[in-house]
Formats: sequence, structure tokens, C-alpha cells
Amino acid sequence: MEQYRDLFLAEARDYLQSMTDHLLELEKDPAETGHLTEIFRSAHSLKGMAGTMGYELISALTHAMETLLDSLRGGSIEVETKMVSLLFEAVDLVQLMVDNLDRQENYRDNVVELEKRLLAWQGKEKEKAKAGDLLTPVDIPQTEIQRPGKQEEKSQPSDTVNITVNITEAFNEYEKELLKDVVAKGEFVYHVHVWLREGSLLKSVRAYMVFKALEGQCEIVKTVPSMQELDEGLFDRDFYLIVAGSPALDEMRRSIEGIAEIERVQITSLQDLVFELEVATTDAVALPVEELDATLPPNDAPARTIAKEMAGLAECREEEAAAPETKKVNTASVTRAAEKTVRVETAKLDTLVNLVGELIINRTRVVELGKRMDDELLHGSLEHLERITTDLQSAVMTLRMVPIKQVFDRFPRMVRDLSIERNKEVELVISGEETELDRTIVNQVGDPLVHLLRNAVDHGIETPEERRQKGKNPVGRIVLEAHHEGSHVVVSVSDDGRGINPEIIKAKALEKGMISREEVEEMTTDELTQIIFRSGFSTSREITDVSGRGVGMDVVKAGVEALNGTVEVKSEKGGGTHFVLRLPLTLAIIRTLMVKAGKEIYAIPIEAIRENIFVEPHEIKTINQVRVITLREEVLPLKSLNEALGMGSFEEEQEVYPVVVVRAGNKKAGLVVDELLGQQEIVIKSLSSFISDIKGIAGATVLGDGRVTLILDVASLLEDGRVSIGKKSSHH
Amino acid sequence: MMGKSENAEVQMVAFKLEKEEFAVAIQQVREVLKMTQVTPLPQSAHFIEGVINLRGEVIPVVDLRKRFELPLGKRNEQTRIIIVEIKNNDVGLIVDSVTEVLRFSASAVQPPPTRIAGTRTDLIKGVGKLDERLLIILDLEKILTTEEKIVMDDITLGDKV
Repeated sequence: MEQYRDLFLAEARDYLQSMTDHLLELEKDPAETGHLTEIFRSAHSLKGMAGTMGYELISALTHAMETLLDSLRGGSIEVETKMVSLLFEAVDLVQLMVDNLDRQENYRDNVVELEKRLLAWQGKEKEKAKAGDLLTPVDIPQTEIQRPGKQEEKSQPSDTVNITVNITEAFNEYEKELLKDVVAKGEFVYHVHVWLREGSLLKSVRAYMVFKALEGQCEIVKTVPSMQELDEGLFDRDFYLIVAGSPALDEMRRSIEGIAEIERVQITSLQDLVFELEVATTDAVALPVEELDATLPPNDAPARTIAKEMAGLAECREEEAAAPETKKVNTASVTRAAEKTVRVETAKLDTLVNLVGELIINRTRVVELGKRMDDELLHGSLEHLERITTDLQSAVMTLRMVPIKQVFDRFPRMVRDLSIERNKEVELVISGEETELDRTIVNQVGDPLVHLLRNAVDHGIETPEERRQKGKNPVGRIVLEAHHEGSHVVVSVSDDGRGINPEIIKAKALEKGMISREEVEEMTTDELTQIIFRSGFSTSREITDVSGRGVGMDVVKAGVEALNGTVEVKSEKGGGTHFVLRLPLTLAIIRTLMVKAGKEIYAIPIEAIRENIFVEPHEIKTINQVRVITLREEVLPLKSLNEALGMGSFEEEQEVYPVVVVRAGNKKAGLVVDELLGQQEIVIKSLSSFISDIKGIAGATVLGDGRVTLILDVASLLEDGRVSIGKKSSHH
Repeated sequence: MMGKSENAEVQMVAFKLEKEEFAVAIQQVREVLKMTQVTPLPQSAHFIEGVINLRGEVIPVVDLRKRFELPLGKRNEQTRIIIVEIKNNDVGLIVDSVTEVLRFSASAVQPPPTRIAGTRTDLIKGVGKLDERLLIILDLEKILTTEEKIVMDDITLGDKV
């Protein structure tokens, strides 16, 4: 059952997401019945699937949801917030059980209790005196909702199927050869037609079980629709198999009929046809259909329609595929989307990405070596190689890209619940959810965004009364937006709430001793605002469940920086808050500047670098025991890279210092290095967990010559505050 | 590994450090390398020598001499890096030399002696006896995950067994 379980998991999550989406829509627009239908359909499918899998609790709970939804459809009750919340509760509980399939039983009490409340809502308590009664296995449901498609016409198979075969067209050359071989060996060819019960769920599973049942009895030559389509459940109710061998027909029939949800099986011999095939092909020219028909013995009528049906099936499939996506709610459109994709294990993708990474590294190395040679032809082909590998790299990288929708999807629900809880009215506007970025980043960007949205609802947006007093729309507005910008994805979270008051921040930061009075005086409003990202800072006066425990903004910053991204905040008192996250498209390959410090080479991500400059000793001044230079009227603190890494000290008495001006968040500094070596693309290798939290180091990479080079984590290098001159750093 | 039937055999990779002989279960050893170029890792524990490239993977390397507060010996032709797997992570151990792969009958492997003054028996998984030789079977996981200082005296058997 393992693989069915995975299938169930994947589909259940889709249905739950769909229920969540449509519940939110329904709440906004109760008049639109499409949402209700869709929720109902999802609950129903889920119930059926859970029933098939024997997940009694999920099945019971979704059944109760369905009952409530049914009353809604019937108009006996109306959509209201509390009811939607109740349904959400049920969605959550189902989600919980889906996530913990092995421990479903633990939730029995919750299910019983929630089931009661669901039924109580629509006044069915009397019918269901005891919740325990409900937890009887639920029948595999009849499909109330008709799926679009051809099913009606085909749903009543007559006893004798009229089959006509144009065998020269129904099989490709390979299959024909195979069939001829079979007959030559004295074996038989059968046409096995299988109908699933109406409303059967997990169709692909049933098809698979049919294959399994036939295994060992005969060989499957062909299936219509194709194996892959069957595997993906892309068929209506019936499918054919052409099998070869010498199976015991009764046993074959029984083994197929023994599978759950199989309505009937019809087995027809194609023996004569295959003989015809030999005639047809030895004549070298395919016979026209009518002619073939004529050559067939009249009593072989069943065999004749096969090809027609096969051709017909193929046609209707094409029709389906070609049908414009007019219907919003349409299972066919769902399956169509599936047709275009293949599920691949992420580990395989990672391997591919890694290999391409290695290729790029070695290409760089080869290109470098090539430059030393004076050979036109070599240079030409190297250039070509560079182009191809670059294209390959970007093609492979797109394989790992997923739309940020995956993260955004859970926010409408979250914001809704939160605003109800906090007595606020909030409208969440999402745009750019189709923006794609690397899977690993998508997986990790969720938490920072949750924090920002929670903060926006909790601290940003005012209560409706307060907003009215200020002359604002009582409904607050949060805009979540994503778009591409060069090799970055920019995600912004903006609210039209009260904004950040720099005075409060100033007072708080002083109170906590995070900054000194002198510093405050020098700070601009913008700089003051950025203080919220420092750890231990929280301006919330009251502590709520949601945020304001003094964690939050620093967590956001750390989370974003861990992804090689940056976060900034812009705010105006009373005019809302605007957070901008800049994230790299991918984490696997980055451009870096290679620098030398001491004996070692380090890689600095280009994203963190503003510029490279050369500084002469007389330009260096000392303020508050910190070496600084003035760069375009801005005071820039200097840090020796060696010193910052604890690998050496600031080299006095040099004629000129190469300095890399780096930036992380709002901090800028000049890193003094020994030598600038040039830019290079590198593949990031993570460090083993034994050594993963080393300050100043983000990871490592392997250079073309096999040496390991460390990648600097500029943010944590700058964090250290100020390296004073007097400080002795430990020599290695 | 231990406490199996009398006839069961265990295979161990034996290595030397200063004067002591140690052993690590062969299942834990992925491979043995000659000393190679190690990139130092700033701001890490003092016994971490750095990182190496093992077929495209970046693997941390621990100098066991530094770990046990031994005087730093010269690296020579005998110096080896034993790549061991600890908690699903590969870690390299720099040792003076790798002597051989040994077979012990399970009965020759005994639990760590409990009553030797000054001996940190919690770092030892057992002691293997082979004729006159005594090999200390280290608990690598403990040795590499504790931050505290371990002095060689803590783990050597001296002449007391």
C-alpha cells in the first residue's frame, strides 16, 4: 500500500488546499455557488479516497463536513464567519491526520467532538445521537457531482461490444512484430476490456492492480490509453489491454474481477485478426479499412470495433486536450496539467544540479588554461563550450524552480484567522505568485514571511475604530507581492497601517542600551527604523500570542540572510510599513569574487559587494579605535579579513591596501585583503553539520584544481561590531 | 558488535597515535587517504584541522593529536586521514599511521575497564585484545561532539590492564 499512500497524501493535500482557497473565497462572496461546489467536491473526493484507504476518521470527518456543506447548498443555513471558521477547523484536523497518518487514532476524540459541532450547526443532532455511530465505515461514495467528459455515453457498456479492428493502424510496427511472434509461437492474443465502477477513485491504483493481476499470466503488449496515462489516472472509466500468452481465461477474468472497484471485464480473442495481420503485412501495403472489414469473418464482429474505439478514444483524448479552458472548475483541466509534468525525486534533481555545477567549475578551469594557448580553433571551441554549458546550467536550474505560490497559498487563511482573533479587518492582496525561484529558497522563505505578515496584522494595521478616526478605510490592506529583478526575486510585504514610529524605536533602543545617545543623534530616521532587525528588540507594548515577544524581526533578518538575501524596511509614521526582501534565484551556484588573505583564498558572494577600491595608508583614519576611510563623503569602517577571521592581524606598513566594500543589510564596511583574484562562478557545498555554524563562513566550494575554498558570510562578518585596533587577535 | 556469540568476528581498522594503538569498527570507516591539502577553517574548534575535498564533497578533518592534547607530530609518509561516518556525516581523522585491518573474535573485545584511576572510560567503547596487543576502541561520536578538552591521559590504558 506504500505507493498508494503517497498518492493519497499528494492528492489529499491538493484537496485540502483547494478547500482552504475556496472557503476563503466563499466567505468573501457567499453568493458565488461555484466555490461551494468546489469545496463540496474536494470534501467528497477526500472522503472517498480516505474510505478506500481505510482511513475511517478522515472519512467520517469529511462526511460531516459534506453534510454541513449540503445544507449550505440547500440554502437552509447561510454562510457566516463562525461557520467558515468551523469548517476551517475541520480542514485543519484533516490536515493534521493526513500529516500524521500513522497516528490518526490519537485524534479520535477531536474528530468525534468536531463532528458533533459540524452536525449541530446544521441542526442534525437528533439524527446523530451518538457520534460513535457516525464512525462506521463510509461507503465508497456515488459521484453526485458529474464530471465533465464522455462518461455518460460510455457508462452503460452493453454485453457484446462491437469491435472492429483496423489492425494495421491500431498497432505500430513493433507491436505488430510482437503479435506475429506470439502467434508463431502458438500463443494467443486477447483484448481485455476493463470497466471501473462509476465514481471510482484512485483509478490509477486500480489500473496498476490489474497489471499486477495479469503479471505472470500473460504479457501486456499494449494498453489504451498508454501505460503512462493509466498510471496518472488519465482515463475515464475503462481501458483496454492487449495481452499475449497462454493464460487460463477463467482465472484471468477472476483475478481481475477480484480487484476492488472493477465493474466488469471483457476478454476477446484477437487470434484471427493477427492472422489477418500477417496477410496484410506480407502484402506490404496496408489494406483500407473497408477492405479489412470485408476480409474478416462476419462472426468476428466483436473484434472489429477495437480499432475504431481505439481511434475514437484517441480522438476524444485529443479533444479533451484541445478544449479551451473555459470552465473554471473542471477535472479535465486538472488532469491536463498533470499530463505535462513528470514527478522526479528531488534528490535526482539535486544530483543533476551538482553535476552541472562541477561541469561549470571545470569549464572555467579549462577556459583559463585555454587562454594560455595561442590557438584560434581552440578559442573558438572553448567559446562555444562556454555558451552551451551556460545554457545547460540555466536550463537545469529552471528544473528546480517552483512558483512562490506554494508559500503564498497558506497566507490568506492565516491572515484571515489572525485578523478575526485580533479584531481587525484586513484585506490581503497577493500578486506575482507565479514568480519562480529555487525550491530550497521557496521552502525557507515561508517563515520570514509569516513573521512579517503577522507583524503587519498585529502591529501594523490599526483597529477599525482607530482607522475610522484617522479617516482611513476601516479595512486595512496588506499587499504581498513578488517579482523578478535581474538575478533576484523581490518579495515585498506592505501594509497601510500605523507605520513605525522612530521616536518609540529611539526610546526603546536607548532604554535597552542597544545604542548610545551620541549614536542616536547621528542616526537618520531610516537608520533608526532598521534597528528593529537587531536581536532583542521589540516595540510591542503588549505581548500577544502572535508576535511581540522580542523575537521576530531579527529572526526575519537571520532567515533571509541565511538565504543570501537581504531585507529592508521603509516606513512612515502613520503611513504604513513596507518590507522588501531580495532573494537570490538559486542557492546552488553563485558568482563570487575570489580574494587572497594570508595564505588562503576566500570567495565573497558578488551580491554582497558594492565595489573594490585601493586605499593608501594615509587615507586611513582612526575614529573610536576603528580604522575608517572616507569614501565619497561617507565614513566607511575598515576590517582586515584576516583579523575578522581570527587568522592574523592588520598588516601595517603596506603601500596600498586592496579593499572590498561589502554590504549586508544596512551595514557597510571595507574588507582589507591581500590580493583581489577576480570573479568566478562557484557551486556552494554545504559544510557538514559538525562545523556548520562557523561565524563568517557561509559554506565552501571546490575549485577547478581540487582545492577547497571557503565562502564568506559577509553578514556575520560585519555583525561583530567594531574591531578595535588595540585588540590582539589570536595567531594561528 | 559486542556481546555476540563466541564465534562472531568483528573487523577493525587499527591506527596509531603517539604510542597507543586504537581501533575503529570497519563499518564506520569509509576509506583511508594519504595526507592531503587541508584548507584551514577559521574560528572553529581548535582540533579541527580544516576541510578537504573528497570527490567533490567538502569534509571536515580532525587532528586526533590536537584532540587529545598531544604534541604535534610531524606529518610524514605514514600520516593518514581515516574517513569515518559519524551520525551520517563524514569526518576525517588525522592519525600517525594506519597499521592494519584486524579481526577479533567478539569475545576478545571487552567492555571498557571501569576502575582505572584517571581514565575516562566514557570515551572508550571497549578494549580489543590480540595476543599481547591492546587496542582501544574509541567512541568517536563522543570524542567529536563534546566541546570539552580531552587529554590523552584520559583515554590511554597505561600499563594497568
